[in-house]
Amino acid sequence: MSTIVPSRVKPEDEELAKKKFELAKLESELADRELYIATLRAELAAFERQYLKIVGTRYAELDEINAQIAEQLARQRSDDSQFKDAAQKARRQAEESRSAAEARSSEDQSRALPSKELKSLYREVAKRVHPDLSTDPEDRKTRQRLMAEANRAYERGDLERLKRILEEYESCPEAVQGEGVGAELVRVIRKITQVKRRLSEIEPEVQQLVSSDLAKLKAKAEEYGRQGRDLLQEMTQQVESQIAAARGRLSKVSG
Amino acid sequence: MDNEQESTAGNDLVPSSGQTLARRSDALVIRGICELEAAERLLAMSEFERGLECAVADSFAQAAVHYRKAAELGHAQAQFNLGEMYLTGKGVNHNPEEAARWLARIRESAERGNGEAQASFALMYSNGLGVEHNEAKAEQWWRRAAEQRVVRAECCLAGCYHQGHGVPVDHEEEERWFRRASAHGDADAATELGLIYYDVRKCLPSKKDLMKAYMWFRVAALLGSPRGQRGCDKVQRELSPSRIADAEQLAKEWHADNVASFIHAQPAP
Repeated sequence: MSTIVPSRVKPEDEELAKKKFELAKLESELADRELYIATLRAELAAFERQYLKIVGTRYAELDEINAQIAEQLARQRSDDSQFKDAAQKARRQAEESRSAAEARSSEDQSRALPSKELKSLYREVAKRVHPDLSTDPEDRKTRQRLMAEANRAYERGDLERLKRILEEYESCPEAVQGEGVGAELVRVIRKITQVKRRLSEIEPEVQQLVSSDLAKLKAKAEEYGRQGRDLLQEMTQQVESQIAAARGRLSKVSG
Repeated sequence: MDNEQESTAGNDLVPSSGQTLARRSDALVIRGICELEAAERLLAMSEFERGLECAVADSFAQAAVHYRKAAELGHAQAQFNLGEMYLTGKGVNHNPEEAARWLARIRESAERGNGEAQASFALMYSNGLGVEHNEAKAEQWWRRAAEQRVVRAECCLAGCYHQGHGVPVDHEEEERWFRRASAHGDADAATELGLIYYDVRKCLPSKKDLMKAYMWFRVAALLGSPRGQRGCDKVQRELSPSRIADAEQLAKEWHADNVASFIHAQPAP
């Protein structure tokens, strides 16, 4: 007599396996897309720093001279309130340009673009820590905090911080998991829904970044680069000729 | 279920480093872009003009070099001329694919709402360049461009009304669009108005009015047109000195009220 019991796979087990497979694929796609958009952000931020340092500071200089001209004129024509208003406006403009240019150019300029190692570590973090890969409210909160931190660390190029985030999360006590195949199936399906929603949100975010003014300028700089030209340098020269003209005006009104 | 409702991306919860700073620096970015685009437009215009000069002097290969520079900077009429040269093999090797590439850029840009490109796209339909000849479509695109104050389109639209291309003949509309083009500083449009009132164009019913003819030729002359000046000289012989003086006055007033104010309203380059 045979004692072999046919191994019967229960339908819910089969369904769970299918859904887990689907989730695994989505997890991987999610990590890729999060990495993509984080890299896009980091690259744009790096370009912006460069732009503000090279060109932005020159605009601030130009506006400073223009403010001095306007103030000089206001002193000479103290009877006319129009000159006073113009001087105040020019001073505000100069302050705005200066703070905008300095806010970013004071940041670390040497920050390199994301390295391969940084990218793969970020992808790992996204895969393990992403809030949409959890269904437990407490756990999701932890993950949201860590993921936001990971985004900042990635933009800063902070490899160590990313490593610590990964460790910190893994040392967290596992959220209590509900018992049984049915409960697990529900969790997996919810995760799938969450991940799909996040994926659908990333696309418009990417579009918004790609069509931003900054991205437009960056694309132009790259186009110039391919022609062996330096866009930011050319823009700087353009502003510097405006600065020279403004200096001439300033010495005329002061003289 | 609450946690499903909230935005789940870590990115949204905490702005990546200093989004408020980024917003402040936007003004500096936009300023740079505007100045860059203005400089590129000027460069494109000068390359296009140089291309035209070469073409007039029959050095088509050289014209193509300048047109290409302007075309790469987005100058629609340079793209048109370059496309035409690739189709005819004038100044460049015959290359329909290359022609199609440039003409497609005109179309894309026209469809995105660029007025200059719309005028060039209209000309493609009018000349049957790269597309099937179609007066009605030419008229539609000229109108779109004309509504955006593209002067050459305003003149072409007036021409459509004169010839009944894509629209019924309508000399009132013709005059209206020539007036608009004149107000936008186009000397040829003012000359056309002079010709209409001098009845050279034989509009029906006749619009012959020597004083008005003189006035529009004078406006054209004020806009720097030698043809306008010649028109004045001719009409002068048929008018009394006092009526000439009146027409002179009208021309000056119209120029001051329309053209001068329009030019002042233009943003500084």
